[in-house]
Amino acid sequence: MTLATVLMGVLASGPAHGYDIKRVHDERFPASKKLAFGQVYATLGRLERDGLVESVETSQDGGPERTVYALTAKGEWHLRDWLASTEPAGPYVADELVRKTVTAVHTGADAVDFLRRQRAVHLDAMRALVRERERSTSVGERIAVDHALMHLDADVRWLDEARERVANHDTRSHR
Amino acid sequence: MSPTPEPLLSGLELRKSFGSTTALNGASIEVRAGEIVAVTGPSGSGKSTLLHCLAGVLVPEVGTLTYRGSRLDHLPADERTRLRRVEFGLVLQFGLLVPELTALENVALPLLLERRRRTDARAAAMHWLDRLGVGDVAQSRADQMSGGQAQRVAIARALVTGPQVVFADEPTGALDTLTGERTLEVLLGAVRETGAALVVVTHDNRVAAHAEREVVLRDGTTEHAGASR
Amino acid sequence: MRPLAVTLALAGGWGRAALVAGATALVSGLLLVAIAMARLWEQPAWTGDEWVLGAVRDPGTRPGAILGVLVLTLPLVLLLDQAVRLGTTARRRRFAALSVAGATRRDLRRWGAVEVGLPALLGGVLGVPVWWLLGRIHTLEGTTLVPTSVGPGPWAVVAILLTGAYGALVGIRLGSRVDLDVARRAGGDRPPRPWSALLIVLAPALLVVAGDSDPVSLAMVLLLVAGIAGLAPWTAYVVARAIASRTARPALLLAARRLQADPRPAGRAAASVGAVGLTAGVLAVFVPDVLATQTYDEGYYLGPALVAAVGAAVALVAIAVSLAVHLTESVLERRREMAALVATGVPMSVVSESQRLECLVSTVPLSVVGSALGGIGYAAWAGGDGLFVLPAVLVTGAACALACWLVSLVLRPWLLEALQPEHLRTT
Repeated sequence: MTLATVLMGVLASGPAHGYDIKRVHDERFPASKKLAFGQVYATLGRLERDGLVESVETSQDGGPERTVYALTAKGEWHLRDWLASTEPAGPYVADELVRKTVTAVHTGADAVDFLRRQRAVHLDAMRALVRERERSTSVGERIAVDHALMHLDADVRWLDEARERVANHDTRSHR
Repeated sequence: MSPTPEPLLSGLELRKSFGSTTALNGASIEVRAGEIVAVTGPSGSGKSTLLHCLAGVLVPEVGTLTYRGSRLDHLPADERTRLRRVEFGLVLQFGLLVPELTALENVALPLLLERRRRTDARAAAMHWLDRLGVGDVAQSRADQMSGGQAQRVAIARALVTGPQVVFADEPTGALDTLTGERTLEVLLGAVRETGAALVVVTHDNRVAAHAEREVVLRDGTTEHAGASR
Repeated sequence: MRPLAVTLALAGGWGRAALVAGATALVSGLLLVAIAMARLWEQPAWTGDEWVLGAVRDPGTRPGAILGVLVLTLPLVLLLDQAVRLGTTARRRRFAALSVAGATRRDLRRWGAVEVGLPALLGGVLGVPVWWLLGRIHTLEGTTLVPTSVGPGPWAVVAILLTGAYGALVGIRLGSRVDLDVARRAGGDRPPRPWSALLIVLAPALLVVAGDSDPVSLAMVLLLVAGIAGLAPWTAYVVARAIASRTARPALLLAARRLQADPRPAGRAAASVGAVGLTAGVLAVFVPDVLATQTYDEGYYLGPALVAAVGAAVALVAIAVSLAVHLTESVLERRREMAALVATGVPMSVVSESQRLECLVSTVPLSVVGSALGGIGYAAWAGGDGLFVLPAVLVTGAACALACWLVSLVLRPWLLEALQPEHLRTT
């Protein structure tokens, strides 16, 4: 469901065509793979079916179909809820964290608060892993836990740095 | 649900400046008996200053420090020094051992200051050095040891008087990852065994993950502590 | 742009350069006095316009007088050595940075030589006005301390160049020890060795080889004095180590291990104090002896005795000053260690006491030994009443203790500042 919410995040700035939605997404996440149009329209279709997004106008003067999509009130609520909730810490969550944080920044949500709470979740997970490692006796288990710990640590360091950047940017733009 | 026990050591709304720099600006922290707390935050956030205030090394300009129910910041300097010697144990980042003394003498020093007999003091010191795995450097001078060995000797020195609270300022800061981890495990093991509380200042999240909870400092103020179980 | 030499000379700061120049000036002045005294031998004895003390005019006692003047330079050389070692850590860092930037060992030695040699040379030149000033001093009977009919003459240049060269040599040694010190921690690794014992052994050997005569006696005394003085650092090291392994008193343990780690300044101070004690002991037998024998020209003997006493007092002051300088600098260099000491629960009073003990252990024992040796030795050799030796020993010991107490008093503000927890900060 991540792509769906990220596209909703794009629509939070205002209604847009599918083509513009794809373009803005690719600009926001330069490190990610560029989206395929089929993917975009399929996701938009699902969102429309779930009532989170609606088509606002459809122009059809001889050219290809140009539907403008917009967030519904239910969609806005879902988006806000997603932006505020933390992700469970784990090995494959980094991508999700980046998307959520960037989207939060673009939609003006409180990214700093989210990052702070997410850090606490990550620290809890690290603590659990440390306890697990203390209990284990085999080298194999230990090095496996080491790996997980180091990656979580990398995520936490990114969370801290991202928080600094966002906080600094906020203070600067409020002067 | 059992009521949370009274904190052993607490600092409330602490403020401390050095000249024109404000290091602490309304920081608060509580430490319960036997607890392991990590103090984290970006560099320059006042972590070491908070540690020094809690340990009675510095007196804050504003705020209250309470240890076992009585005001720590109201004690005269000699009594605070004695408290640090007997009830607290301090493991600093640098310069913590007397370079000219041997490891054994460094660890025995707090006991000698408490007027214990020389043989008793040396025996107790040797016992702790062995327990921390550095018995073989007992006769070496402090400035001729590796960083990891010196840290363990410092931990032994901090624990030799049976303190109630141990304070550690970046105990693994100058060490490589594996040595640091081993040193940390040794410290935690010893602290858990004696039932002392531990307050460890660190910028390393993996060190913080060894604590039961974390107090985050930012620009001299504490954020509300991260949740635990 | 300042010439490079001046920049280098001031690299350690104005204060240090001034202290080096000042101490060298005094040493140089005394050397000039000694040379002038020696030049009296070029003249026929008992010339009319010579007003110097009888002890100097008399060719028999002249060697002793010259020896006395030379011995008086030793505490001043001690002060000079201490002044030169000021700011060692800063210099090490400076030289380490320079050698990283491409300076060769020869460069560093050359710069070290200029850094110390230039103020030393200046001090050497200033020795001339010092000599002149010393010549103005008259005793109650109108005699002078310094020969009036002859001066050091062309030998003055030699003396001045010698002091400059000594400074340059010390500077070279400082410059060349940098790369060794960078690899090694301060002090610590190389304990002093008792090579000077060889000189002591050499003395009676000389007697056997060259037979008994005045010059041989003088040489023997010089060898013995040099030998004992040279042994002082090793003795300090051994004694400190022995004390440290037996004591339970924290202040004494700290002081003894500190002395063991850095025995050379203490050893040098002890040697100088020994010389002061020797003088006091000898005087304690000599003066009562003179007063007891009812001669009418007591002044002839008491004059030099008074000069010797004043010289000993001046030497004691110089020793106290150099100890104060050494201790202050060691406190300033180890601020973080001292602050950590207090932070981990060592009371300030114990730290202060350990400094005082460092001073006392360095000076009092050898002052007592020196004065006892001087008194008993002189009484045995010249035949005199040893009644006043014990009081002299006590007075010398008490004077040393008083000096140490004063030094620690002067040091207190620096010590208190160094122990402040602010120095624990790493940011």
